[in-house]
Amino acid sequence: MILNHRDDFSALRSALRAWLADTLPSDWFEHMVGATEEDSLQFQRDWFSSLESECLATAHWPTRWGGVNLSLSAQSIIYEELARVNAPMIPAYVISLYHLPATLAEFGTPEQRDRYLPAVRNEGVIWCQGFSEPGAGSDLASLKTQAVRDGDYYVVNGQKVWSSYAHGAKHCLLLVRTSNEGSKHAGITYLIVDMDTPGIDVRPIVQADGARLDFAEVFYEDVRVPVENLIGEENQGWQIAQTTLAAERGVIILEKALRWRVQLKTMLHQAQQSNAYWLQDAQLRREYARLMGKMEGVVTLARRVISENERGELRSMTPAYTKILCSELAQEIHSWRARTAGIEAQLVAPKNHLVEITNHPMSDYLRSWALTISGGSNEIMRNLIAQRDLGMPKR
Amino acid sequence: MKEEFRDSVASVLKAECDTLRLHAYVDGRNNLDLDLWEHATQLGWLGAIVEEEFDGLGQDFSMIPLFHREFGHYLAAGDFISTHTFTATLQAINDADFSKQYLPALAAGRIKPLVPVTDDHIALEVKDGVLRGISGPLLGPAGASIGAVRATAENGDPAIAIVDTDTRGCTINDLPVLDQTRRKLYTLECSDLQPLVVLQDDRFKRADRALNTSGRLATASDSIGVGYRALESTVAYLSERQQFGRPIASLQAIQHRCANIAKDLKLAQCQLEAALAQLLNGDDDGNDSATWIALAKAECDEASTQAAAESIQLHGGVGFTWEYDCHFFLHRTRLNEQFFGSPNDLRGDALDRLTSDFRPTSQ
Ligand SMILES: Cc1cc2nc3c(=O)[nH]c(=O)nc-3n(C[C@H](O)[C@H](O)[C@H](O)COP(=O)(O)OP(=O)(O)OC[C@H]3O[C@@H](n4cnc5c(N)ncnc54)[C@H](O)[C@@H]3O)c2cc1C
Repeated sequence: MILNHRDDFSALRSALRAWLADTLPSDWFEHMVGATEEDSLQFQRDWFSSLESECLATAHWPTRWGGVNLSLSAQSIIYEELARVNAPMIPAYVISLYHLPATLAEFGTPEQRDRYLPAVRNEGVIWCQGFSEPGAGSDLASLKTQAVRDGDYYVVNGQKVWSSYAHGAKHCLLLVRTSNEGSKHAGITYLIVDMDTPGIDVRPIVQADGARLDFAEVFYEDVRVPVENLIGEENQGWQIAQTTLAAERGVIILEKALRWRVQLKTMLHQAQQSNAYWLQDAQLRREYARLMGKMEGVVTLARRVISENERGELRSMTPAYTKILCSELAQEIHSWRARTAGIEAQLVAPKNHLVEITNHPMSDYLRSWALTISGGSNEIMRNLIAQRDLGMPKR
Repeated sequence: MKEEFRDSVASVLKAECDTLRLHAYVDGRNNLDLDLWEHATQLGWLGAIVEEEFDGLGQDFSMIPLFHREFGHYLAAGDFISTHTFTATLQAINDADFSKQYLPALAAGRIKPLVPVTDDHIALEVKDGVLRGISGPLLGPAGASIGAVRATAENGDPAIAIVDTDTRGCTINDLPVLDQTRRKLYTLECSDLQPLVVLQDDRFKRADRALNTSGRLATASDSIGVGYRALESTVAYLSERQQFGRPIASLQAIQHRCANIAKDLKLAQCQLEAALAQLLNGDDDGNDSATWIALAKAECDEASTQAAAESIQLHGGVGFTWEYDCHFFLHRTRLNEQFFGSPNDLRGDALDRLTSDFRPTSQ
């Protein structure tokens, strides 16, 4: 086991390098260039199970999530080594790996934990998140999808939108309205839904960059959900959802940041290798240096989010700062790339979606809005910083 | 230890360097710079990074940001950057006699040093072992008696000379600056001045590196201190000032501008912390920590300049008055930008360094 070396960092690095050299097919990148969404999803499933054979995908799970409770430093080493070889990302697993365990660890029943968490590790089950609705985005608490108790079932009716990877998911973390009394936050309930239940209709939405199956709208018509699928108590959903959302501002960001950091260095070497024209341009050189410098700050911040989490500093503003700074920097990097790549970046070309920095700067640039919009938009983060950190009055 | 140190610096500055006193200093009605120097010597601040055997506190470079962030925050009158920078430079030369002679005096604040803040070395020449010409701008407290200056060596290379400014052939000229919290820089006019030492080659490189590292850490931290002070005063003003029947601070357009300042300062500060950690822990990943310190300094100065600039606009008319502090913020950060490398220069140098170890691999 690679993780037997968890306390000896240089041995851990060597073991990871050796394993990656053995396991990651050398032609995987070319193989995924221009792959169909179905092939890409299958590839993610396969790569997930390879990673899991060494517990690498769930290495960040704390013991209470049923994981190995790896230290932050060891976790960073895993990310750095994956980044070094530009190993495939597994975006379809984001909810399964982060949101689900965080939610169940705190609010799930022992039965739910035993049933769903091992299934992620052993069978690579994909989950999706059904929070947003057409009328409830930033103002999530105004959601309307309704659940009415009928014996041992909830009957769900309504519409969700932007559910990432709903198309490949087996289960959904769903927020529904069970009461209209009191504040809008008070009538929300949290359910687990099997995506093959009759009455669920998943309609993929084509993304701005042309990707067809990355997110979807999901319609619920008289969908019967067993009450044992309730997470926490009825009408406690808002509070539980905060835990789910907090999970998205932790290690996920660190992994991305470490990948960008490695990629910035790689791209610089590639530019030297190919004698890229911008290396002759003093202004562009300065801009590139600046991006690399900022990346160091963002990595430091992302690490801080996790160490604060571990110390239980739940009211910290670090996640809000990290969310904005990390997504803005990604956008700046891709914007810089698209700007300097010349007309080539505007040409149609097949790409590989499973890396943070693809062969197609314009498409990466467009995709960077996924980061600035989702997970609490950057404007919402600014509201939080102004009101909670700077103490500016709400009205 | 470090927290105590910072708290003590902060509480002394809070008491001694409040806005009223600072304005009185600027208007020539007190000697705040000398008073602060007196406190600094009594409390041992100036010996923070001086070894214990030379009567200092024996701390590492992480003291520099602690110290200067507070000095920036209180817009401390006078100069304290040069002492730490000069100390670091002497330590890098590692000459037993020099150390013994000067480090205890620096730690005790008995001698005040000047240090070069730009790379200028053209107009000052070493010829036959003596200095002739005029130095570039130098930073230091009033009444300096020793200085490091950049000069051109006889072989044409850049060098650093250490000089006793009380020696014959040495005149200190004032170079008044717009920043009224620091008032002036200096130049050294040398006619056949006998230097204490001229550092060349390897010794120059070590001295130059130490001077830049400590100078940039100190300046960047000073900027961050000013930047957060500008943000705090702005938020405080906005929360009091009412227009349209509500505090201006409740307007979202205003809130987002403040949040932008806060997040840019946060990033700059994290960059500085990361760079300091790389310096102290050698966590260098093959790259020189000097690169990351340079980039962090550029970011700290610019984020703080932006905070200062926004403070003027967001204060409205009063922000445009002599009486308010906003112009102090902006003058101070803009001057900082020019110390030890401007953002443009630092970023350009950084990319040169990052690409310098490149060997093309044959295809
Ligand atoms: C790639 C991607 C993947 C996603 N995946 C999922 C998923 O898996 N599951 C899921 O449930 N949701 C998902 N979302 C939805 C995401 O959470 C929402 O898009 C987000 O919360 C914003 O809501 P909205 O799109 O309705 O925009 P709106 O809330 O309508 O906002 C529109 C604009 O107004 C601004 N704005 C809104 N309110 C304020 C305010 N109070 N102050 C200032 N500005 C404001 C916003 O910042 C934005 O710029 C995803 C979104 C994207 C882009």
